[in-house]
Amino acid sequence: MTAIELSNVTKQYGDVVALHNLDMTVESGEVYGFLGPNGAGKSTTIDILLDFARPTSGEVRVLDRDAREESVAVRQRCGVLPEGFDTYDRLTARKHVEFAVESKGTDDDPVALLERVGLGDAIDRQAGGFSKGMTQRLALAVALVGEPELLVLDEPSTGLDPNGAREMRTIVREEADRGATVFFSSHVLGQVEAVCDRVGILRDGKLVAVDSVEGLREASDTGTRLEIETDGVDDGALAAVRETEGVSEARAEGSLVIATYAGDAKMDVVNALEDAGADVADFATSEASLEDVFAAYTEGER
Amino acid sequence: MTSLDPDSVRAVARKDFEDAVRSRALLVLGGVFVVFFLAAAFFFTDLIGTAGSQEQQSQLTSNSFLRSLSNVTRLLVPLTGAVVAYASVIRERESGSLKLLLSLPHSRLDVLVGKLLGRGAVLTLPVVFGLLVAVPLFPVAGISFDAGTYLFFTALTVLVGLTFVGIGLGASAAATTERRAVVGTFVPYVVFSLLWGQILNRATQRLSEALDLQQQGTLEAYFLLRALNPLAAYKMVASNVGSPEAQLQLFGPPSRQQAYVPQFGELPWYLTDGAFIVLIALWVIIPVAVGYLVFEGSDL
Repeated sequence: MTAIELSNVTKQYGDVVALHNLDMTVESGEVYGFLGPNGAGKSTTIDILLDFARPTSGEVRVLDRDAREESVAVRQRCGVLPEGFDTYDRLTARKHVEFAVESKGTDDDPVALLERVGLGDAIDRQAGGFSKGMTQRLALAVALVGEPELLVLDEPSTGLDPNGAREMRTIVREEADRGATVFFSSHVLGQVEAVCDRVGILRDGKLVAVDSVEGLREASDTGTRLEIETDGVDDGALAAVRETEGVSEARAEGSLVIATYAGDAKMDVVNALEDAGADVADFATSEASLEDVFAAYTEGER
Repeated sequence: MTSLDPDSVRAVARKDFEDAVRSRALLVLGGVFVVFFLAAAFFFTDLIGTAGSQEQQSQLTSNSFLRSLSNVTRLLVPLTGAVVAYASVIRERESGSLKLLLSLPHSRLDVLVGKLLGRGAVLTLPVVFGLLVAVPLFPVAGISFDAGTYLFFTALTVLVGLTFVGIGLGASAAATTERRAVVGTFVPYVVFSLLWGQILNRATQRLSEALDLQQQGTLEAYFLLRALNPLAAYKMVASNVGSPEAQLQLFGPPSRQQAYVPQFGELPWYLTDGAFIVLIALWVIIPVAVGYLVFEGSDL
C-alpha cells in the first residue's frame, strides 16, 4: 500500500509555478524525508496533501483516498505538525490536546501525550505564554492523538534546541516502529539523515532525486568543500588542484581557491597549490551544504 | 468536500466558545450589556414610579419598556454581533491557528457552522442574562410584567444580533485580510443602521415607477424593502410587542398599522411579523453560506 501518491501534480499561484508535474510516492510504513531549500515547494506539497490548497492539475491520494474529496477521512487518520501555525493563546496545553481528542473521537489521555513530548510541567498553562519550542512540542502532542497511520511533520525541528530536536527524532522513530508512516520535511540535511529511510529532494517544484539515506550520505560525501586563502593563483595552480586525486571541482574567487573533494584529499590539495608556487595563508573545510548535495544529484543533468 | 458532521461542529463550537469567552474584550462587552439593561430598566421603572400619574402608570407595562428599549438594542446588539464575529476566521487564518484546526478531521463547513454556534453563544449569553437580571425590577416598582412578550423580545433581540454574527462570520470566511473582513462586516452595519432610510425612499420610488404600482402596491413595496434591512425589520416587529393594534409611533417612519391597515385592511402575509422574522433569520444564514462558498474554494 502507498501512503502518499502524487501523480503529475502542478500548482500555480498566479504566474508562479510552485510545483511542476510532481510525481512522488511514499510507501506505507517508511520514514520519508522530504528535503529541499526554503521556497522549493515543500509546504505547498503538504498543503495539498491536507487540502489546505488545491492542485492546479494532477491527482493526489493519501492513504488510498482522494486528498480533496475525502479530506476529512484522510485527516481522521493523519497526525499533522504544520508549518507556520499558531496555537490558541488563551487555551491551555491540555485544552488543545482535549480538543484534538474530541475532534478525532479517540480516548487518548492528554496528560500522557503532553508528558511524552516533554510538556508534563506545562499542562495547565495557556499556550500563549509558550516559547517557540514548547509550541512545537504542543503541536506534536496534538499530531500524535489517535495513533495516526500517517504523520505529516513540516519542519518539525523549528524552534527546538538540539536536545528538543533529538527528542523529536526519538518520537518519530517510536511512531515508525509502531507502524506509522512518517512524512518529514526539512531544509536541514542532518535532521533528515538521522531519522529517515528514504529521502526525496525537491527543488524549484520538481523532485530532483529520490534516494536511500546511504545514497544521500555518499552523495554528500563527494561534496566536502575546501576554501584556501592564498596570495593569488594562476591557471597553472588551479589546474594542479583539479588534477589532484579526489577533487571534483576547483575555482578561484580572487585570491580564494574553492575546491570540492571526496575522501581525505585536503592536504594533497594544499600541497599541490604550494608546489605550483602559490602561498597558502589559511584553509578551512565545511560539511556539504544542501546546495552541494543538490549539485551532486543534478550535475549529470547539466 | 462538503460535509457536515454534528460531532465535529460541536467540538469546534465548544472550542471556539471557550477561546472567545477567555477574551477580556468580550467579557467587558458582556458586562456592558448587563449594566446597560439593568440601568435602562431601573431608569424606566424609576421614572414611571415617581413622575407618571396614576392613569399613566396603569397603562405602562413591561411591554412599554421593551418597545422603547428596542430603539437602542436595534443598534447595540447587532454591533456587538459584528464585533464578536468579524475576526473569527480571518484572524485564525492570518495567525496560522486555522492550520492546527483544519489538520484535525473537520470540514470547512463544520468549522463555519461550529463558529456560528460558538460566537452566537458568546453574543446570546450576555443579552439573555442582561434582560433576565432586569426582570425583578418590574414587580418591585409595581409595573405589570408580561413574561410571554418579554421572552419573545429576548429571542427576537438575540436573532437580530445573530444577523451580524452571520454577516461578520461570512465576511471573515471570505476575506483574505483582516482589513477586508472589517470592511465586509461594518459597511453593511453602517448601511443598515444609518443609510437605509435614504436608499429605501429612492428604491421605493424607482420600483413604483418601474412597475407602475398604485398606492397600495407602493406601500407594500415600501414595507417589504424596509424589512430587507434586518435592523428595520426588528424595529417594526419589536414596536408591535404587546399592542399590535394602532400602535402610535411618535418618532420615525409610520408603522404598518398606521399607514396600511386603515386604508387597505389586513396586512398581506408577507408584511406580517412572522414574515419579517423569517427575513431577519435569512440574514443569519445567507451571509454564512456565501462566505462558505468563497472559503471552500480558496487556498489557505
